[in-house]
Amino acid sequence: MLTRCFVQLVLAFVFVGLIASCVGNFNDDVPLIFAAASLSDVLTESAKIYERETGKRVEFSFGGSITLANQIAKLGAPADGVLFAGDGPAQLITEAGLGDFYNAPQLISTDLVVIGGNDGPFISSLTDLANQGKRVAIGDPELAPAGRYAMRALELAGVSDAISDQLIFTVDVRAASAAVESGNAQYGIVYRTDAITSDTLKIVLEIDTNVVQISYFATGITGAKHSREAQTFLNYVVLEPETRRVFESAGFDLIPRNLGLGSPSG
Amino acid sequence: MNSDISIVALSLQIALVATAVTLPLGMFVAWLLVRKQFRGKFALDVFVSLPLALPPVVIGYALLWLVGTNGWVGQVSESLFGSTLAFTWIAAALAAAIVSLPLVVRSFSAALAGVDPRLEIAARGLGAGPVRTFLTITLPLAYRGVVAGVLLGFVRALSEFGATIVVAGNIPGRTQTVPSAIFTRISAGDTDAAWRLALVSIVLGVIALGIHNWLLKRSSVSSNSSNGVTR
Repeated sequence: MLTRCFVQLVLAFVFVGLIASCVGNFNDDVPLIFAAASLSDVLTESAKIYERETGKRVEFSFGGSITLANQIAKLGAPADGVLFAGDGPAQLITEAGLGDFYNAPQLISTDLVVIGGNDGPFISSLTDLANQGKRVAIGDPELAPAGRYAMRALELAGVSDAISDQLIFTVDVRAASAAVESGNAQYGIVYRTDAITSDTLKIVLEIDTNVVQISYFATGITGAKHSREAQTFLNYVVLEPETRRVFESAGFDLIPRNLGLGSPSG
Repeated sequence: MNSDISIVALSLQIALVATAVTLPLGMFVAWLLVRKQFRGKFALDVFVSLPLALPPVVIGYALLWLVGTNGWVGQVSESLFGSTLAFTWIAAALAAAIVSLPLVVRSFSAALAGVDPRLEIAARGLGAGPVRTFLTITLPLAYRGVVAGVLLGFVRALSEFGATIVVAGNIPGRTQTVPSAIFTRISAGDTDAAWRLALVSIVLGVIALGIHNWLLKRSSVSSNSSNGVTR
């Protein structure tokens, strides 16, 4: 009797597992786009418009661009297309022979700001930020381009050593603004577009765009199953008036691209 | 809300498949460890227990090395199916299986050790083969402990995070489990959603552990009364 129960238990587990995996979430018929965490809102919104207008779906994996680029280039993650912040991640993909970032007709770009809580004071400079001695959240420079740019801005301002004890590294740029929102850090250095997403945050200092101007780079992944569909979606996003409006109202700049010119650069 | 349900469903699927792997494997290993004397027994014990002592990220990294583009498993699956297992839900299930195996083996070992070997010897003496003896004598006597072990392995598989995020990533709808979804939501500052999924985890954990403890209590009561001895 009990033996039968046991056998039934084993079978039940195997059976439910198999059913679940058949019914389940193995939907790799939809192109998968790996994209910068800073684009999560606008891309999700754009995908809804895209599905409504074309009937086609896309899925996303959002994260720090460097993390995601490494997953694709070094670990074989199944991305069909990418939309990354900064030239570092794009370079990882290009060097692995997996993408060509020169085809994108438009560049999306944003710039860096220092954010603080709504009720906090404004600051006058990055030196001022370092002197305040408060905690400052930035994306981990090893994982998130926003963190790399933040470090660059701090270095150019000559305060990277002075401020190093105050820095908190997060997995991506969204996590940095979330840390300020929750009050676990008093300031954060994030993209302007991340600052706009929350009512409880305000921009306390703008970082000169001559110092840091960030571009995003897009491509379909060479050899991926849905590379072409991914590329189609990425082109749609930067060219269609409706999706462009989504980006522009979130604070991104869409710059027509001179295809004759040079290599991707931050 | 809708996506919450699909995240929980994917988590359950991964944990169930992991349990389907650890149940027969764990049973075999536990049986070897409890009933057999052989060279390398100590090494086997250490090897299957190792995930308890290692950071889960190390397990994930080792697994990634094995099933990724450069590992031999990855290369075999790439030539067979055209893609590696890395960053798929199957990799997540493998990670969950490896991490939960030591708990399953330990529970099964305790359950098997509670069965008087003389009963098995008697069955063998009466002409039953080893498989029949195991299925008709050992397993029925160890039944509750085994089910408890299965549940323990299942909850461990359900709560796996460190190894999973390394080998399977955190792709919504494909490899994002409850723990990795919570991590994403905390990172993104989406505290309501994070708490909601945390609550789901707590409820699932309490239910599974409740049944686990109830079964173990019953099993010690029933083995005491039937054998007339305390273990």
